[in-house]
Amino acid sequence: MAVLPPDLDASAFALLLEELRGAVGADWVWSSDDDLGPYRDSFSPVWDTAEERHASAAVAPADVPQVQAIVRLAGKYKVPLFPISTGKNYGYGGPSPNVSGSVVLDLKRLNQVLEVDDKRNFALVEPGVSYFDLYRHIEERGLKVMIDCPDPGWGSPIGNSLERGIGYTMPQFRDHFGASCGMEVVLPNGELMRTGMGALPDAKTWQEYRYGFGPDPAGLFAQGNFGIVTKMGFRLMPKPEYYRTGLITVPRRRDFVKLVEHVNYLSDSSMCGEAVYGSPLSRLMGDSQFAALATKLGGPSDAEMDAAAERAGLPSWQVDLQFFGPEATTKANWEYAKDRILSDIPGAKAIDGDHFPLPATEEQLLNTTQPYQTGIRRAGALGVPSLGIWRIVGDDGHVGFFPVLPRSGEAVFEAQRVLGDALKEFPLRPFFSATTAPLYWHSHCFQLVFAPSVKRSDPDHNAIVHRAMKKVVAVAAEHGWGDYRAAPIYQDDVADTYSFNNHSLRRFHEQLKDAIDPDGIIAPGRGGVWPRRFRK
Amino acid sequence: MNGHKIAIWVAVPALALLAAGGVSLAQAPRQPQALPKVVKADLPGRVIFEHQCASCHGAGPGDDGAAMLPGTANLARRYQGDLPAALELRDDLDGDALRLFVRNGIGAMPSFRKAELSDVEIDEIAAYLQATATLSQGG
Repeated sequence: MAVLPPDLDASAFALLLEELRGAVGADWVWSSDDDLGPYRDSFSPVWDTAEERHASAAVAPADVPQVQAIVRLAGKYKVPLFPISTGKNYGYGGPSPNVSGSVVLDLKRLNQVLEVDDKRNFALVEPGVSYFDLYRHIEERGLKVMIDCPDPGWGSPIGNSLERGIGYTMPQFRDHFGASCGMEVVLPNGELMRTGMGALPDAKTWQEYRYGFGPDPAGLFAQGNFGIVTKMGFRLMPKPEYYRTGLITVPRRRDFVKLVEHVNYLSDSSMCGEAVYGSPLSRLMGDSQFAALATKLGGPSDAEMDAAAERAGLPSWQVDLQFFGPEATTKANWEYAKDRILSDIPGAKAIDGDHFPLPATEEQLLNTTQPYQTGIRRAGALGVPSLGIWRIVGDDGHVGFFPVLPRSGEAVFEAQRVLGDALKEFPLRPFFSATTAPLYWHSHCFQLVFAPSVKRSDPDHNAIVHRAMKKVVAVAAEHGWGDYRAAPIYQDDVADTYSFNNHSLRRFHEQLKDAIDPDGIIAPGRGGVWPRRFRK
Repeated sequence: MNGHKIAIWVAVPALALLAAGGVSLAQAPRQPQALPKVVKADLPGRVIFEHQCASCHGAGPGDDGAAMLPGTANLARRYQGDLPAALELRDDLDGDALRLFVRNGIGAMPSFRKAELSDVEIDEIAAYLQATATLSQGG
């Protein structure tokens, strides 16, 4: 489906393509349907519908001066650019743009790991570098730092952090944007800017002191459209000497409240890595009688759930804990966690897990040495990028809604009930029940997950998914739970929910956008921020 | 999935092994899987395959006790033994066949852009797969 950029006719578009070829070489500009196919969102629920967003062309620069040249050409022709890093943002739109007719600025060829320092513990990379690339760079050189990577290792540290993606190690590294330090940005006028200490020409601390002096605009470039990030620094964890796991179970439904409070203490005190919550009762969801109870309208009572747990001989909740550091401190932290929780929650039990010096053996990395089945995915926990997680991707992919919740048991119980009830009208498998456990990805909040699959051959199913996504965003917001990240087709829905004081945040972003990017050429609509030219 | 981050592993502990009132657990039994023997050809496509394809389509085991990597497991389900599930054991995939899947994707496998995997590199992968399949068959 050939499309033209907004407000550009075919002859002007042909001139733009010719100038782009002159800037980067003819081999790195694409505009045919075949070549643009991979720039569609493979996981789109609106595939082949009027709502799908299509690129008009794609261009892949080799270096920063070429990025600047492309941005200046986009300004000359007033054509929207949609920058991507490795283009693997699946579940959140993949490489597809917000505005049909955008030219995708494919940064995959900017693929240099510029620096890794394992004494001061940071990296500086370009956007086309993947987690696999960074991991290989570190391992091939025997550097003593560990990365924190998301589930699929083909993503880009820059792209992932700009989407506020997460990983699975210690709290200060799991929030990938939070662990970033210093960026280089091509602004909408083509000018190059560096943030933080990078603005001081001779500074040697670009990746160590994030702020420099004065306002720090770095946050504008995450889920934003104020420039194109071409370099970014990341703090790295020194390779730990030892790794240890342990499982805590608690018998009653309401025990979850105290369990969460204890784990919050452990995590905020930097005593443990990602805590992985679960409910052993989820294994009963195949039983129709139990499933009906767990998904009951208005939610089951604590007594009903406790009785079901007792009948099944199962605890109500569990948490997988993991510890990094010297062997002695991992042991001490686990012993402390056990003592703290078991002395406070009657009936709580603790099970010693795996423990071994790092680096892990192949068997340890494959997670075949854990003395019980675990919710921890070992590769991610040890900062080893993988695509093993793709085994959960069914049909033709999925979309995702991940509301941000308070880190409390009560909030989880409320969200289970509210979101479960809200989605009952849709014929999809239940994502929320009284056994739904929170994700502890970002280090100071919980999230839940709604990620229904899409089926390219079943547009009726996709339409149901699409409606369900829009409804769950709205219902969650009514209860104070906002999504953290969204595909372009949902970004306006999500941005609309962040509406305090008559959308003052959005109006502030729009004022900035109009001042910095008056022609609206950088990713109009990204993050729900529309330049004047495109505002309705 | 953080890219992308859709991490939905429903934790299912081996709680049947929990002794009532106790915390001792037996080792959860795991059956070792016989992995196919792959003799890798020393061709330029080897590194490309290892960097671009092997994390899903390699012949090794999957994460966290899974017998196969996700792409290999999908092909095993699709072919039901009629064809090898591991791409390195397939001698029938030329560059055009690979391009069809790489550029269009299939099911959960998304498509790949020329900026990340060129047509020349796809041909090099095809040559590597054919040579590796032949070597692995003892040919």
